[in-house]
Amino acid sequence: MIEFKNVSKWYGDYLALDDINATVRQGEVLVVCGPSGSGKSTLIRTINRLEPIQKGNILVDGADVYGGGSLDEMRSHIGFVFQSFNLFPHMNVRENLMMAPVLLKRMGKSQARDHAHALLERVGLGHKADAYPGELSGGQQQRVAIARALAMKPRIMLFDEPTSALDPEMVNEVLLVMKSLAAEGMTMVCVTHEMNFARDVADTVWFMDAGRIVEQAPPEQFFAQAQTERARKFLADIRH
Amino acid sequence: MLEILSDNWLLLLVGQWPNGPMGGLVATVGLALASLALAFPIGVLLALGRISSHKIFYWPATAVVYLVRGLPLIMFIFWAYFFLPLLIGNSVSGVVTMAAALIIYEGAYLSEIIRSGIQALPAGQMEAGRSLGLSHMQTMRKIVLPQALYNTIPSMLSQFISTVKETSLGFVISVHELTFAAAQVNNMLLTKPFEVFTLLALTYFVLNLILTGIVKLVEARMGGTRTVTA
Repeated sequence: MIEFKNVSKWYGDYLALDDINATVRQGEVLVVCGPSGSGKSTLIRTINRLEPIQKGNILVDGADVYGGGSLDEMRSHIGFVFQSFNLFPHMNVRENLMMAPVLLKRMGKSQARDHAHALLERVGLGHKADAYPGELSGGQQQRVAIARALAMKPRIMLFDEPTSALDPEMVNEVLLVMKSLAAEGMTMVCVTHEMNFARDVADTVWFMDAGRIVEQAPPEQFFAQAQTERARKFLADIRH
Repeated sequence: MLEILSDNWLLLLVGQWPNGPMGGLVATVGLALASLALAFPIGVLLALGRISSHKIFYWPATAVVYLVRGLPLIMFIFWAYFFLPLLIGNSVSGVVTMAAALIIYEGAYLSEIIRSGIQALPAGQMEAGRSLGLSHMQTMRKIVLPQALYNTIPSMLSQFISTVKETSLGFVISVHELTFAAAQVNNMLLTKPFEVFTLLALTYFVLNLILTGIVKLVEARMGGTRTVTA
């Protein structure tokens, strides 16, 4: 469970998050959408403290992300998938998956290797364990990145525009992996413009504008009858 | 000039060795290699200090780098020559003195090369490591430094070429290296300084031409591999 309590963030004088109060339930699949600059990427990056906040609290499973607890320990239970993949180019795919679990002593080497292979099979890349990230397509890299995050057996997965850097024909292979994760009951927060994904998979859609969550609704309700003019305009714009 | 070379090639190559200390060209290359190798860990530590957000690491590292880069190498040679014996309470050989000066000097220059290599990596590499639960140091050690150091190999090799040339300053404290050997030859011949020092210049030039060729080869081999996409 993720709870935002009066969260505000400034970049200098610019208010990026404006008094956010919201909750993501255990097992919920949340899609965060909104125009560029609305604060959605900033919001998702605050959940594992990639961005500092100036006001409020964020609780993940009851623990204050900005409190005194071990940040590294907390992050190891939250998977993060980046727009630009950020695979480690000097390691092959298997090493990308094994490095953190072994280094952080969550698994022995052979166990981590088996786990890595199982995850690669699951994202359809069992045959790419020895490949280097530079040898893979964008869609394959992003699937490896998801598998790398899953290798730590996270309780929550965060996706920050995971398909925005991909060629159109590769978007689906990544969305399919995300859908299978959602079907298993993973708690997921996805910043994405893929409205079909939102419609098919999300339990809730948050629409953000100017650093605020303007609407929170189930996808069918959000798409059929958005409450605000801003959201209706956004939906009209991305449909064209 | 060829006659000078055929009469003195051994002295120019190894100095008085095996009857005295290793000198000549071998000492020049050896001194440069050893100095740069020992400067490397110092360079890494200074680079980490320079990018640290902790003031107690940032300020000393920055001070050292600015100080070293703002002074000529010969100042460090003099300081090492006069103060190293006082510091350790023992007399110190010329070659060790020279190495000490070079290690500090090259350490500062290497640190700037390494720092630029670290900062040239996409910020996403550090974020990806930290998001998996790795600490800052673990991410540095496993993810950032392996890439940054690999990417800066050509620049570090170029620094080696500079170091080779800088070893000639060891002459002023009588380090037995190539320039010292050439000066010995000059003192023996007395009447042929133009030829001797042309020979010396040619030797440095050819050596560094070869090293430059190696740098180019390495750069060509590295091109295209292990690049970060997106």
